[in-house]
Amino acid sequence: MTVRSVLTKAAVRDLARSRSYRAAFVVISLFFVAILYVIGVRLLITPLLSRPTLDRELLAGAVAGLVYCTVLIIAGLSLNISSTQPLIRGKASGSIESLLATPVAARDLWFALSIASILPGILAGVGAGLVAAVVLGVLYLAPNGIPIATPWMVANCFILLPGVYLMLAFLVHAVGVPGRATSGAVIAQVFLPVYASLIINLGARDVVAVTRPDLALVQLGLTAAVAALIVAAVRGMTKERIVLSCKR
Amino acid sequence: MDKGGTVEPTTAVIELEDVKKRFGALQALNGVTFTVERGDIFGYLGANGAGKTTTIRILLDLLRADSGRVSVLGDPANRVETRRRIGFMLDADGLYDQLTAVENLRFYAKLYGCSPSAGEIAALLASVRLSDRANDRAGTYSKGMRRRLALARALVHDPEVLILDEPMSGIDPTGQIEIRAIIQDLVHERGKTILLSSHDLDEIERLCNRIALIDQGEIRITGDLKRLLGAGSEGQITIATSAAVAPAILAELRDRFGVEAGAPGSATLDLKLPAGVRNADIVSFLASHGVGVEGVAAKHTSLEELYAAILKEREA
Repeated sequence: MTVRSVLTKAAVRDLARSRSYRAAFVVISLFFVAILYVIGVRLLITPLLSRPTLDRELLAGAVAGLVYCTVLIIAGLSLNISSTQPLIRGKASGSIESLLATPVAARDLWFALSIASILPGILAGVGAGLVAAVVLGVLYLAPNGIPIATPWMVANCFILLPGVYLMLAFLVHAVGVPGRATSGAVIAQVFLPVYASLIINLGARDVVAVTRPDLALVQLGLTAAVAALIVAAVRGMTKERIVLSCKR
Repeated sequence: MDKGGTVEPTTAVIELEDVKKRFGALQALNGVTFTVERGDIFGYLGANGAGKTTTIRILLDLLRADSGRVSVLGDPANRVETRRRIGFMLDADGLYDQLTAVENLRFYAKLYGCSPSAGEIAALLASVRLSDRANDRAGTYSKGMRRRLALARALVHDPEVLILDEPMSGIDPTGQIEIRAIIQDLVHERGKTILLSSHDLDEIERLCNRIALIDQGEIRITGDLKRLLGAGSEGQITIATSAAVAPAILAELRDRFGVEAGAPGSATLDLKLPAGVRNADIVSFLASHGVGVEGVAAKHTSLEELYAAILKEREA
């Protein structure tokens, strides 16, 4: 087992056992997802189904949009909640300094903390998204002869969006680990509302759609841009910078 | 006084030579040089902010020295292989609160590439008196229990060298006695070498055979503790008397023998004898002046007195 996997496992376990994290994550996620589904079903799907002629592409797009937003909200909230506290706690308690005094390298620590902060959120988001896709598909798509999933919907919701969040987690920690933990967290806190409102606006204007490759291109471009920022941020990451940022 | 050092020091285990480190305008270390030999319990002494933690961080490769040479077990301190041979206990415990004691130890062991058996983990926890709380989360532990678990963690990969920063901090007197016994056992029975940083003079004096005193980033003294304390008290005696000694007798003592006398107590007299003056000369003189002498003892300089003298010298 590599140092990175040992570190990641311990960090995930530490996070998952935190009652405050679990409670905040579950309550806030349920709240926002419930609002999403009330709005989505009442304002999008029900009016589409009540039209005299069913627009199958629009209905498939609306369902895919709900599934996409489910993953977006749950993974995003997880990153918001878990990117700050464990890092602040780790710096204050000395566990980060202690880890760096072992054979762990600065980048091992950054990698493990990044994965640990987003992995539970991605798993929960993808899981909830899959459940939503099946339930909404069975309720609204299958009875109208529309396939439950399309390749672009699957790629956008379950591969590329988690990829964007993964990159974002790396960026948040590339800033927060050697610097101030709160500075990294700001990226996560700004991203979710900005990205969600941008995608909803573009979707409403039919510029992008979850069932089309254009959203895939947007997400790939975003991933590449974040990756470039990560490369720049990680270049100056040293143990000394991390240790000196752990002011108690 | 219980001292370490029964293992014959033969090899330098930790070496610092002219190490300098600056943080902005602050010169944290200014030419720090000292050596820790194999089998030492080496006390690294200094006030808060003197440079102890910076030195320890450099030894653990957490900070890079601006200049100078740092080696541990003959290798540069920044080698991964070197760090595998060092156990440490920092000022902060650095434990995962949500993991149990056993999980914390297993986790750190894996980072060092070890996989201790359940029996070895149990023995380690027993050695720091945590067997009954082995499966409780570290977040539920008291400060003293956390320090003991941190010590167990420092030993989980059976290192050759231990670097302990304030190991007794927050531990009750019973716990301190136990940790002291563990530290002595580690050196005398298991052949470890220990660098122990502290600002607790009593703790250093009880445990260590060699010391370095750092002040404002510079080493003021370093060497064998017994010799250092002995050097500070050469020719000094304390005489127990039946009654307070009259000032006139003290004046005559000074004129006749060149003896320096401290302020006389009600039944004690501290004297510093010049070379060539024997204890017997003084006792005989006092007896001839009607002073009852009940005992003569060589004066012992405590580490506290040595420390105070060094700081006074620096201020002067």
